[in-house]
Amino acid sequence: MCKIKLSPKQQEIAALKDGAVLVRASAGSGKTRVLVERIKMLAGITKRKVLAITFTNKACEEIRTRLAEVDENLLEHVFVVTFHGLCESIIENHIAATRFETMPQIFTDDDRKKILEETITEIPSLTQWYKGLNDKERKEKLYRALDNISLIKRSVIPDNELGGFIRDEQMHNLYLSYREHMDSLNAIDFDDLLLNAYLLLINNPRIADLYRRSFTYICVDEAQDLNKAQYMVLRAITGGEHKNVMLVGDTKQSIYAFNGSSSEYMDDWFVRDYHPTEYDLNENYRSAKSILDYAQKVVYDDSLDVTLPYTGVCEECAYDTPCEEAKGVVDKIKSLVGTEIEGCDEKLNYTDIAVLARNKFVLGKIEEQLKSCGLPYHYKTTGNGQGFISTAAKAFDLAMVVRANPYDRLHLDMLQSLVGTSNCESLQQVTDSIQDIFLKAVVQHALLLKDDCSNMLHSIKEVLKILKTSSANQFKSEDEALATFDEFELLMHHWNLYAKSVINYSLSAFRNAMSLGQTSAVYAEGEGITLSTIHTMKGQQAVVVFLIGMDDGTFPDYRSIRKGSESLEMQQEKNNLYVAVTRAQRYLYISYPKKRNMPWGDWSIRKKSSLLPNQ
Amino acid sequence: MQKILIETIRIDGFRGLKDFKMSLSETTVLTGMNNVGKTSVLKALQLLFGNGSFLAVEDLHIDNNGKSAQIIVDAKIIAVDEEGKRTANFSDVWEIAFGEANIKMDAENYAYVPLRAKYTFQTLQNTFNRDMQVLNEWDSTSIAWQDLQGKKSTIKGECFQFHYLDAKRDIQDDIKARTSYLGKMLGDVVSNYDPQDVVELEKKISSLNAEAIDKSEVLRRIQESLKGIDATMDSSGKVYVSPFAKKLRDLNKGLTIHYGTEDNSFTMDYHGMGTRSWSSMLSFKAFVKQMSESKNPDEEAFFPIIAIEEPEAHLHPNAQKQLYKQMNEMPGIKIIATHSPYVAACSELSMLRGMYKVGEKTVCGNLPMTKLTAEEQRKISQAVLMSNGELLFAKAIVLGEGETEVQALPIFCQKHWGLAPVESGLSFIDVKGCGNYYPFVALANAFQIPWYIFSDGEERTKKGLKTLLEKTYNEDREVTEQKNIFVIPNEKDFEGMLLEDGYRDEIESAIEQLKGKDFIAKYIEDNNHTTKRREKTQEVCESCHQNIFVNIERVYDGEDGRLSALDDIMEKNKAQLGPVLANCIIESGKALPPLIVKLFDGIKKDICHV
Repeated sequence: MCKIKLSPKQQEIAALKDGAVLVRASAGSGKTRVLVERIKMLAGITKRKVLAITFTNKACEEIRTRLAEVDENLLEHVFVVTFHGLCESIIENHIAATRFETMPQIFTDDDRKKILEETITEIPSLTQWYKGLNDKERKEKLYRALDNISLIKRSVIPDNELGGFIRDEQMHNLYLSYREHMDSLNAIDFDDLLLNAYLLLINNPRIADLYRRSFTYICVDEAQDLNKAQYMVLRAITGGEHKNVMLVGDTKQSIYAFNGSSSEYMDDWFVRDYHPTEYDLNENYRSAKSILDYAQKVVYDDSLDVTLPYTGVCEECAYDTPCEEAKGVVDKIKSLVGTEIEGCDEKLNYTDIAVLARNKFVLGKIEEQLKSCGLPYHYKTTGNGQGFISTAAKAFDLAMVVRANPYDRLHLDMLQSLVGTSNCESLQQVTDSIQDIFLKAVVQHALLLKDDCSNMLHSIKEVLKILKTSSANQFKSEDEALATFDEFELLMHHWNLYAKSVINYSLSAFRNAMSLGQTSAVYAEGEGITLSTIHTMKGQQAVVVFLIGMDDGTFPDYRSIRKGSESLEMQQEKNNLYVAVTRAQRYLYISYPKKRNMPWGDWSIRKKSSLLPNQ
Repeated sequence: MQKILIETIRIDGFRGLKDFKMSLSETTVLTGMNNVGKTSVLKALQLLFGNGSFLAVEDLHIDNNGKSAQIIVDAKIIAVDEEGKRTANFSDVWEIAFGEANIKMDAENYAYVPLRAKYTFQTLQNTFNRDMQVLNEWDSTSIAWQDLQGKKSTIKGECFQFHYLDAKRDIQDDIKARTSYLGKMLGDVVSNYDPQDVVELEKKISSLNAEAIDKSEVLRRIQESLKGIDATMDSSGKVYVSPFAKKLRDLNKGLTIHYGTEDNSFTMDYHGMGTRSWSSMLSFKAFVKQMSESKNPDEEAFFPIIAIEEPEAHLHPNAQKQLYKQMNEMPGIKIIATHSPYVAACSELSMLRGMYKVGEKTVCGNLPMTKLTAEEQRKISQAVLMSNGELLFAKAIVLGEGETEVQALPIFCQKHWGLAPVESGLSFIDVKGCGNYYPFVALANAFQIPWYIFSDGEERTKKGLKTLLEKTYNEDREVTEQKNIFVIPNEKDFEGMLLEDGYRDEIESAIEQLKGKDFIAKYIEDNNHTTKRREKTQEVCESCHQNIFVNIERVYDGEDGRLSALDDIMEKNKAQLGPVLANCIIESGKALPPLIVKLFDGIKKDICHV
């Protein structure tokens, strides 16, 4: 779309200099552009840096690209980063001021699950109880416990106050044991990044001062999704004196309450602590009128200012079954592609279309349908914690983790069960005992990786070279052979992106960057129709949006319904819907199946989502 | 100008330097024997702040453990205020220049930057790989400093302006080379003129050229014959002979520097290397000043690091004395390697560093400034100045507490070894009282100069020596066990020793030489039974409750009386007596006093190359 001039209101905000500012920007109000314009202006006037905090690596990349388009040198004065990235860099730069000797390895959710499971089996009283559970219960309990652990960390609960926060004695124990276990592996999880950076800053006021002076201006995007730990990190950096903080957010789009976020940090805490000047940015430049009208019915915004002259399309449809729904959606897609769209220069393309759903499972039928019709599509991912599938790539990845962190017994054991060895104490021993010649070579290459990664590219290429000369029948299946090849190319891609983005190479930093999704931000951008959950689609948009699976129990989720219509969960579901609706620029099709096939085989009759407005 | 300071440097694996540490001040004066590694220190700074293009495989350190695989040079850069006092945070421009990622906080919460250059030799390519890092911390209790971890430095190279003035500098080369500091300044000179002035000046030069050619038959002829070129070229160009540079921008090409009186000056070609080298240094100084004045102190981080090798080369002692001041005035961090006692004598004690070898290892010493009082520092400075700096370069220092012996000892020394003190490299210092040894011992230890004490034998003096040992070694040591301390036996002083050793005749003749014949007899006559001093007794007066004092009178009767008269005369004339006495003893042909022989033999044993 062509660039239009900023509106007077946008201009006013983009020109703001000193002082604390809170911008309530509704969906489609062009807040990213305003943000970028302001950062650009601030970067030009400060001798130091503007700190721009966003919630995804993708958003970071977007802001960086937009700034670089104006002037490469601007980036010298701007630090665009996610909260996790910021905390990682603070910890890494001042590691001597932390309790760590070397930069700890960041464990992803899968790793955390395993650690927790091991922790449970180490506590006798819990082991009995855990053994008595069936698989499903175990899984559920594990996730519950992990969520609780996260919540404790995100809420920045000091140990001496734990008693008041977790009343359950066993959970209390589990939390402390889990932490000990992580420490023994020199590992931290995502929440620890924030917590440790926070502790570092408050325990070392001079370092906090250093950052305070370095960041003349701070901008936080999507501020409605702040959690307590993030807010505390922000507060630790700014202290009491730094007031040039701008938060931009939209309470209506707050959808991450399930992991500790709350718009109250933006709406109440920030207002109380910083006394910001408040602005409303409620012009809408994204969506056609009919879509906005619909959004108004979902969450009413009395200040909304519609500025686009297009009517657009906004339709609801009911299908008999999810299969029918998928067919209906795909037929519609076929009929729309290639047509003219109001206000767009080019004809509608597959990439302009997104199919959204509350959860990933609902998208399965659409995927099948698209596949059978041969239409291009991709799943949008957050880029975080992308795992490998092939045995060889998994083995290389695990071996690399162990190579970087010799304390990491967890991954050593995972590697062992993967490559079929046992009782090995070190990576060297594993390498020596592997039977499979190819896997042995793969692990060997990982073992020989240097700390500064100077032979990373070479090693990956060597593995690819072996792959090229081996025949497919050495693998379990042709798929496995292909996956192996693809994934080593993918690894090389991760490496290239990492190598380009930093000047400091280290094995553990590379792994951490992969875990933080910093190396897949660009790669995740796929071709064709976008399939995505609403959460992952945040901050992005599409010309045509299909919102499917809009039946009660699916969206809103049955668990939220159980909590009652006035619950926080239901409010979040409403926000979810608001986010979904406001992703659409011109056409919005909302659909649901009248019945669904349940896992136990019955057909269940479904109702239209109670969230949807009665028309 | 906003300052920074390199507090400490560490060097490992470079030339003769292994695990080498040294503290720096804003100006540091580095002394030491030839080949001890002074130049290596300067070159190491170049590796860290400049470039390593000069490196060759021979620069890798070799010792019994084999050849080093890498060269490490570390610098701990700290924040200081205008006066050079350490501050908690870097000034704005430096904080910006370093960036929050590279600034660390020490245990006292003071900001610093632990910078490291690591050069690894690449055998295949036969080159060095340079890796600039910022360490996570400056030191750690659990690992050797060489193994400390760091991240790649994101500090821009231009942040550090490193300049190396080598010993072979020459103003004549500077004028010709565009890359020299002088050349750089001259190359830019035209831009400093008012454009109107350029026009006028060039007009004047033009007419000057015309006149010079017009009045010279030779030049006219040359110009005429060169006109032949016009014929062979198709262009409309013309040939001009210009005795003087036509354009102001070419000013540097014909520039000469003259030195001398107004009507009898010579260009630099005719001057000796001393003047040329000195001029080169001064032109560098002008360059640095010009640079620093062109920078906005609130906007740009500018504080050059200047390594100067043998600034005194080819210079007259008087010139050398001025040199230090001129170098010290330059803005920036200066590290000066010198063999000149004059340069060293001019610098402040806190700036002096002595390099020396302990076995195979090169180390660097400096005065323990915090352990010295202002008065003690002043005493050292004075002694250094008195000796014209020779003290710092002495092979051994002999400390005494009486004027007579300190004056007599060098003469005995010359007799004993057949070498003048200048040749032997021995310095003799009168510390003026047994409580004043410490600063000189500290100085000698800092520069690893062997020291000896020739002391009186009174109880009070021995106590003073005991205190000295405790302060120096931080432990209890017996004076009698020290091989470098020579105490006169039987609680005598130097004069008493000579009398005891049987030099009475020589003492009498020395006194007569100094005071005239019959002086002794007259002295005895005049002073016998007069009051020498009043002495406090233990008796207390009943009325005023104070101790009663009695008069002690001089008793010069008989043979013993004469001896004590001699003692008193020597005491009164100790300022002049020493040399005369020493010469009398030598002329007598008698052997030297045994303790003095013992002292000299001891020194000889320690420093066999005297």
